[in-house]
Amino acid sequence: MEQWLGYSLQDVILFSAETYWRLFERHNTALWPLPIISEMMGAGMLAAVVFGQRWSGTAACLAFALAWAFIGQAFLRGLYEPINWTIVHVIPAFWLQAVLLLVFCRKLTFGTGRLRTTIAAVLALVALAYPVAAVIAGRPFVQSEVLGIAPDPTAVATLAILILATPGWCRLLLSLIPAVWLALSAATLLTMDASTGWIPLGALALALVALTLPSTDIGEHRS
Amino acid sequence: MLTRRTLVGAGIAGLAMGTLAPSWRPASADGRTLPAGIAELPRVGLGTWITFNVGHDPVLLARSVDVMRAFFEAGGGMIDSSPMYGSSQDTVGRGLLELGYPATLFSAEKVWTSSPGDGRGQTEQSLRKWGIDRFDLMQVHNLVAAESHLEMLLERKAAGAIGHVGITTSHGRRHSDMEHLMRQYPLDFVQLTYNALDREAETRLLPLALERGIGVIVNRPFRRGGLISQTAGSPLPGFAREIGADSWAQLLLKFILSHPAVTVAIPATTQPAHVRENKAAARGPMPDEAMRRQIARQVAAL
Repeated sequence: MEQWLGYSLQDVILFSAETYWRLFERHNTALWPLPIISEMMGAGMLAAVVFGQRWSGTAACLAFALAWAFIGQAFLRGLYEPINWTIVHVIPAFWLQAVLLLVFCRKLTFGTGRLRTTIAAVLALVALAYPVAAVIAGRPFVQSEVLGIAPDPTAVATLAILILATPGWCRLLLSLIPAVWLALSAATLLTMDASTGWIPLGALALALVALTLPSTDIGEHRS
Repeated sequence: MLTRRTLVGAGIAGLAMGTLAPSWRPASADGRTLPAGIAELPRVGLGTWITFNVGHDPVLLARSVDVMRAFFEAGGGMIDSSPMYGSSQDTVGRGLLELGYPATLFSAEKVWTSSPGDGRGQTEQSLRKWGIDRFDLMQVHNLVAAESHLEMLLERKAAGAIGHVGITTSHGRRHSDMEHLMRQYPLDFVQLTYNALDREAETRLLPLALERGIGVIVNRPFRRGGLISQTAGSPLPGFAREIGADSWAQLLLKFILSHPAVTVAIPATTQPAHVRENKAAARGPMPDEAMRRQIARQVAAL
């Protein structure tokens, strides 16, 4: 990749913030009313996981597998890749995440440790509050990133769920792609001077803290 | 196959015979010299970096076409793009199709791949995206695999497949490498960053371009809009009106265009009104040396 030598991150963001946020406007408009349905379903799913419903962990993983595959195809390939051709290398990672969630969801055991639950609840609220953040940042509501159909809130919510799983290689494996995506997204947004770039960065930092908590924090086990 | 040695030799011989660029002649009414084969070239072109990378967005595509329409209504000239710039080439192609391929277009493209063998194929792909069959200028983007690509481009120029050959850099990078290539190859154009704050090119590259008769294309004239933001609200110098500059954008462009080595500046914009404003900067008197110093001083102080 000799052609990239000497470039800074700012140089390789080849699109404007306006064009980037218009992607979400076009996405939401094309899918309407799915954004509302997806946000409500996501809220219910996250509430069930955080409040410890017996079936919820596995079901959430399956639902989020579907979301990762959908976002990879509809958002990344359909909308984002035409303005950012580096995304062509990211799309397989989204599909891989979907497969990993499908394959390994039954291997996860979910617990209800107080600190983990608190952090997971905070992250779940962050994921659900992305539309509010859009408005606070001065963008029209239609340009919101919506849980289940936009990558950032979906990655945050995925980590929120995984925080409640017992530590191990399986959870580590499933956390990797969402964490890397949030880091990339934060770098992109902050390079574009978008204040909302602090959201994926903060969520990632919080998730990493929670993921490294000792297993003793986990209380009652359930699957 | 042409090699660098044969090309350099051919370049020297060509200079003597007047058959291979750079062969220069005074062309413009304003006294600028232009590479052979270019009768006239408007001094303000149109860049496409970031601004034309809008994907399939119908609203932003339509706006880009409006920008191109305003550009051609104001005289047209050089439109510069690159395979690096996302969907910008497709956007240019759409605009040209809608506007009926205006005759005043001077098409400037780049080859941007580290694989020497891919350069020709990438150029063909760029032609398809623009919807034209020949580029007026092909440049090696950011000097990537420069020598291999230059050999290919000069060979294609000799065959008549492209009009002119150049190399590019930006952000003040790799000026030493660019200087070396300017001395080694018969280039028609170099593209570099030059503005009231980024003036490194004044020391070696711009004088060398003048000396060797190489056209100079200036990118990032507003530092990706940073200079416009920086000067916003600041009063224009008293002489601005004397030279017909109604805004800082025009004054900043006049600063660039008044350098004797500069052939064309390629500001990018998303606004048709800005195209007209930029184009107007090429008209009227240019700042003299004292005014240029004052512009640079005032901008640096902001």
